[in-house]
Amino acid sequence: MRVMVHMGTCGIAAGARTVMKTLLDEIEANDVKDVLVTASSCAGLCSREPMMTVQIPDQPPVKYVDLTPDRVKEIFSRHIMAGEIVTEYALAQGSERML
Amino acid sequence: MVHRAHAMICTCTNCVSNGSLQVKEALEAEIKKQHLENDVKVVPTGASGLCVNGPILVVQPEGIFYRQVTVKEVPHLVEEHFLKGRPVKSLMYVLPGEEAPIPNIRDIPFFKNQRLIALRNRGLIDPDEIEEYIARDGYKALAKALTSMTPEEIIEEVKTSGLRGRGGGGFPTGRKWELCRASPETPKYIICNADEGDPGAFMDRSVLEADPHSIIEGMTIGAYAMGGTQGYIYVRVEYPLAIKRMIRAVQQAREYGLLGEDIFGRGFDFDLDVFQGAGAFVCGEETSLIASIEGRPPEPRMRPPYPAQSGLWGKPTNINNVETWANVPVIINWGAEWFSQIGTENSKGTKVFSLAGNINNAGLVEVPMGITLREIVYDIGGGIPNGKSLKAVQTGGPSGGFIPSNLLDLSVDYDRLQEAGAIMGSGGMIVVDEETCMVDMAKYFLEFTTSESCGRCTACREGLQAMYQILTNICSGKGKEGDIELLEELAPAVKDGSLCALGRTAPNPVLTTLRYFKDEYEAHIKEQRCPAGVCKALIEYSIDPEKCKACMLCVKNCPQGAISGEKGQPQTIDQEKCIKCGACREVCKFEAVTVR
Repeated sequence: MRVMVHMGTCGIAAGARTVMKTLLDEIEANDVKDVLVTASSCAGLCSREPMMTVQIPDQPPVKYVDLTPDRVKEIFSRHIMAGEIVTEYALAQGSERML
Repeated sequence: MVHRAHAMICTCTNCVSNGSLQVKEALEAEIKKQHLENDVKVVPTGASGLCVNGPILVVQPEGIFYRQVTVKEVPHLVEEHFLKGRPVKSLMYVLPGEEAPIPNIRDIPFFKNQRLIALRNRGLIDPDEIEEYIARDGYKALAKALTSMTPEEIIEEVKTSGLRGRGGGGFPTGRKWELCRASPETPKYIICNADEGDPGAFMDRSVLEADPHSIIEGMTIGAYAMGGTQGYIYVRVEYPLAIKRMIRAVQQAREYGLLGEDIFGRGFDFDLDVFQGAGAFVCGEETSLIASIEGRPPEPRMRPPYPAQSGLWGKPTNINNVETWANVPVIINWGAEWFSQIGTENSKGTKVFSLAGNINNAGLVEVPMGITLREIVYDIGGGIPNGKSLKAVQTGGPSGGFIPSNLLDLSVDYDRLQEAGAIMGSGGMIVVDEETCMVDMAKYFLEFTTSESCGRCTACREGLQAMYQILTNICSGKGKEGDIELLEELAPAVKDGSLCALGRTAPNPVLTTLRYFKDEYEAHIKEQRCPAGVCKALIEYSIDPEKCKACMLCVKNCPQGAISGEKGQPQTIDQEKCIKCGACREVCKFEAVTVR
């Protein structure tokens, strides 16, 4: 499983570093070994940053918006750990039209 | 054997305990019974993450997701889905359309109308890892260009694609490359202009941060086509993250042999360096940018000679904008014909815009050329916040112009925008609502260009200053008869008397506001009134006693203590104390505070 924190300048300004830190802390505290966390860039919707994409293999990626540390913790326990999309904070699933 | 479909049945602990092994056996038996064993392959997989709803079955390549599949349902499912090609809705985890727990990103208006070419990897890859770029066809175009195309074929491909400079000018890229290739002198330099300076614009920064390798790849292809040996990426120092990612990307490309000597074993040498500019607006102009790299003050010079003949250190030089370079690998990979199908007759491909100002969805968008401003503002941008109405859209930053709301169906391409008095520009798009004063906006942009003028040309240095002074007078209630005519006379003089695009385009914000919003200028001058209620010298706040409910919220929020009145009675504003900050109007729930 892969989680991408959108860390363009816009995301960082809106608090993406705190989101990243919270996520890493949760992973460490729960001794999770199979989640790949990476930084990525601006996802386009700068007014809804910080954003994060949760990508479970064989499933469409899910984008979360307007994140706070508490929301990240909730997404961690419900989606990353238990596979349930947290619809309250999710914007959409799937990928954009490319090329 | 190639199968038409793969039935991926989850065999994690969770799904097994819910009977997935039995489902797997039933699937295999049923598929055999329907003689589909050569078409459909059953594959046991690991946990999908949604196994609380197990057993989970995913059918690829469609990616259809079934949950809680039981042995009893298998015959129906195989017959419907694999034999008749009709996915079984009742078993799907996500119903297409209406009952999806969250929408598909392509159904969301903000993303629906976008088409990503320059931003093809945005938010998808880790920009710090070259492998992630390579995994998404990165450097494939470079390999193709170097191993199977001649420089002339590459230039022809770029010419045929119709790609035009994305930095604002819109000069045909292939033609520019051809001129540089034709120059006999060596060495030749290849430059990426990332000196993005328009207020409210952040396209280049986003591409640099999201996908630095796409620029390296584009530039290396360009260098091979033109015969360049050294490249520079000119980034302003205000973009620390972009610089950091770019430098790392260049190092990784060198380690992989994608920059340096004998690239792809073709005897072609090219290397890149990141040059940090100090952040003067004029450095976006190519001759100033060259002067800046050479260590001289960034002042433009006469053209010709063009940089293609005599550029950096007097050698042939090609300069393209970030977004232009990012388009190049896609054109090589997908072909000019494919690329030229997107867009309009004379404006091919897509354009990245940074959407800012009074708009609900501020952000970075990439849209096919020819889309209307209305689609960008309302469908993608989600309209104007707080129920206000749109007044104008500003494109092209300080060099561009304002397009009024009645021209919203204008198609976004180089020529249509120019006809309307604006320019495509590098992609800044600022949306302004009804509470924006157009004279004040013109003044804002003039203030910017006045301070950013390098001072070399008298017409730009003095002319802009004079125009700015007139606008300041108008906004502060000192406008007089003849000011509009003087502005109209000064504007073309500044344009004609300036060497570079800064001076030649700086009067545009004034000219377009005069063209579309002259009544506002006249109201300021003749009636001493700012119709939008912005220019402080011309407005007065007051409280409508009919509407005031004496809630005292404005009294509490006034920083000057200028609002007073008897308890339970309508309040009044002391005009002597009022600093016209508008705090009272913002907090009033009854719209009792008026401005005129």
